[in-house]
Amino acid sequence: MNKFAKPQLNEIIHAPNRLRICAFLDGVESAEFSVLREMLGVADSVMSKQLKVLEGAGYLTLTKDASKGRIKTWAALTRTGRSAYTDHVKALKALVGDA
Amino acid sequence: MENEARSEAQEALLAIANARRSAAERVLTPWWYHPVLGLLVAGFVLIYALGSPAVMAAGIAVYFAGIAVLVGLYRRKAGVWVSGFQAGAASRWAYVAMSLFVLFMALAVVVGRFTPHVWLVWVFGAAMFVIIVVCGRLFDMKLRAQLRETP
Repeated sequence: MNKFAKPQLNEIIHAPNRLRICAFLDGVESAEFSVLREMLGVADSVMSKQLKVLEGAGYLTLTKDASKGRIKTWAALTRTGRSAYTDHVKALKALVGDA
Repeated sequence: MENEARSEAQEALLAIANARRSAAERVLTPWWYHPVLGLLVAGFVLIYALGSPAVMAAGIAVYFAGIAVLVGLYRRKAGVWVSGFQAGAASRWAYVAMSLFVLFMALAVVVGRFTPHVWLVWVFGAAMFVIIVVCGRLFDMKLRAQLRETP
């Protein structure tokens, strides 16, 4: 992004659930599916859909981790995703006059 | 129209703050994590400075296996993972611990291999245990504080 360009809201990240997923993952390196679902208070299907949208945009990676015979899904922001989220937060702050 | 956009942006920033607070509540390191990590690091220093090649090889294998088990237990318990070196301002404590590790490791090898003062190697090992526990706690405190800060 051009450093002189005005930060723009990112339509993919702006959806409330996806915004909260990105905010949570920006604070940690990776998180397990059930932790994110619990944070949002949504069903598995809703959670999966939101993660797939972010993954499809290249903002997030999903990895499977087998432990004690159970396969768990872990999510992490990609470099592109982290950068897009940071720009989105800048755009939000600019809108409220806090940039 | 502008007020509506501003109000929506404020709501979004509030949602971000709430998500970050949720993350802060998740990154609670179990009490045993840093002491066990400290013991592994202290053992690594002792074995590297005092052990025979065979003991060193076995010690290194045990060290890395121990780290893998420790990280696996943490991830399973917390459901999140934060790398010590990619945690913003909190990472400074990981770099402090790493720098002191390199220093004490070098001192321990020199003293243990080239002087008769073997007891000093035990002091360096004990110092590393304390450094890991203290820096670990400070890292956790800083990480939680920065997650609770306004985004």
